[in-house]
Amino acid sequence: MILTFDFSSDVPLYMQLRNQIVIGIAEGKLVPGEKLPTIRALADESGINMMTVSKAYQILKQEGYIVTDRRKGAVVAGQPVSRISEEILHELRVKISELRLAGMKKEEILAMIEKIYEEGNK
Amino acid sequence: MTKAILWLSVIWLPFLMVYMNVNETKAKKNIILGVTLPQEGREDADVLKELESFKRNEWLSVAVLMVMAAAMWIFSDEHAYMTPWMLWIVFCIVLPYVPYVLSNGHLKNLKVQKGWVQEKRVIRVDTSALPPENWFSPWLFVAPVLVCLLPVLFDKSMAVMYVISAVMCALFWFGYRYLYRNKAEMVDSNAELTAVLTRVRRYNWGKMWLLTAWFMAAFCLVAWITGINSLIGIILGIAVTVLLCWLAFRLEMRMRHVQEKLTEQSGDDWYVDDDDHWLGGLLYYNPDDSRLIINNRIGLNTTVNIARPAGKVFIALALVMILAMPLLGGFLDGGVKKEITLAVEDDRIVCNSGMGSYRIDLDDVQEIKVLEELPSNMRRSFGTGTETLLQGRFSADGYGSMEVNLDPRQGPYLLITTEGKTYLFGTRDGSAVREIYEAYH
Repeated sequence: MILTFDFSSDVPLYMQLRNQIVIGIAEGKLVPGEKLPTIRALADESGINMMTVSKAYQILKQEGYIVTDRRKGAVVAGQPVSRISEEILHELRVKISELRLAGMKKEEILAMIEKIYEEGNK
Repeated sequence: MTKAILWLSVIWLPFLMVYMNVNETKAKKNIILGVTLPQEGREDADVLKELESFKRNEWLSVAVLMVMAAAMWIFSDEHAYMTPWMLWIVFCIVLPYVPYVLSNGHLKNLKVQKGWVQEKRVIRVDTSALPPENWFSPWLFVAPVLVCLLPVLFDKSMAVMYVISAVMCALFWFGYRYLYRNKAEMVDSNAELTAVLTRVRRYNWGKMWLLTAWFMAAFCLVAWITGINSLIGIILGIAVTVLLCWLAFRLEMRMRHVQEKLTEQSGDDWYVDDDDHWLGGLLYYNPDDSRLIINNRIGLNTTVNIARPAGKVFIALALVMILAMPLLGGFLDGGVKKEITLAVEDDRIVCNSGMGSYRIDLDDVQEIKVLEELPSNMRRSFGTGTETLLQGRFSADGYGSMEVNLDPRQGPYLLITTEGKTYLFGTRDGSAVREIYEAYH
């Protein structure tokens, strides 16, 4: 899986990393039980700070997407996350509102969501 | 003689520099002359024209350097050749990079004009290229350390050199294992390609450190068996050095060839492009990257991130060292040519040359002798050894280790023995030696 860190983005680096791992799990690029790179290896490879990587892993662990094992390190969680938090629904509402304000119609938004969803199944 | 050997030892340098630079006109990992181009860019008429112009300019720089070498050879003093020699080496390092930086700038402009520029300030990581490392065993480095230390048991006069060499071998392992973490070689989204390129680089990087450690060991063995200043020792020392340089060069060229072949088909779809962080295609400047040591983009070498404070210090030191070479040459030339004085002052025998100064209390002198000729098979442990000056610590058959300050062309020489130390002095014209001997023997 290729991780991309955009230093000109307003999204903090730890959140970029968290988001990409969530997308990777959802799209099946990261499978349950798969070992994630160690914090040090990922920091060395990307050149970003170890604290930044550690923060992203902590959030993923709190959200239940990954589990940490003393021997294996961080691995993708075996059970899919079933809860849909208020926060996620709120974020979805904000994004849909932004698309509406950008001039997109309901059908266009639904078609786009379907396309993105299907892309994740490939 | 020394002048001829020195010039012969470096006269090939411009050809090597230009050969390496011209090799960069072949696309490796989608990079040509330090500029990342898509597949279509490799066949673009404007790009090809720029590459041809670059090659011509590179060979022109060789011609200029050879003319300079001839002029410096003819006009340099027979015994003051270090300054022009080192100045010429500096030119050899700098001049071939002038066309490189210019063509790199032209290609970057072409890239913008043709719309080949990709996104900026982005770093990508292929997680599939982050498996646990298969490091070389440290025992492979222990063997050359032991080989370096072996001669200490038999030859105490050069013990310092052998121990330093052993420490260097141990440091090579440290450098291999810890200094450099071997970032993955990602060229495009092909994870398999990334993995293969990364494996090739990591393996050869380790091989280079190991090779250098064994080179040190071989050098120690040659010094011990033949004596470092004997003719056969010099020849074997040069042979070992040439062999190491040749192996390093071959490794670099093979790496480049592998990178070229493996990435022949890359650059059609999405590809990695971090040209933005490479100044002139040579210096890496990326404030977003916390690493200090990073991969050179092609071949096997590494460089530093000059956005980091330590990177700035490193580059500044490297520049100072290169630019100071002619000054060092001037210092050596002056020191080697300076008069050697030998006299008795305040109950001390004093011998001064441009490279060293010695003072011996007359009360400490146990024996004083005159030698008409230099002892045979003099070997230098530390110091200066030229046609006009021997200064420093030497050893010789039948005399052991001794402090030397003399002109080897002109005897006689004054051999002074004190408790635990032996000295051998001589002047440029042989004067003062007999006077001091007659007065104090």
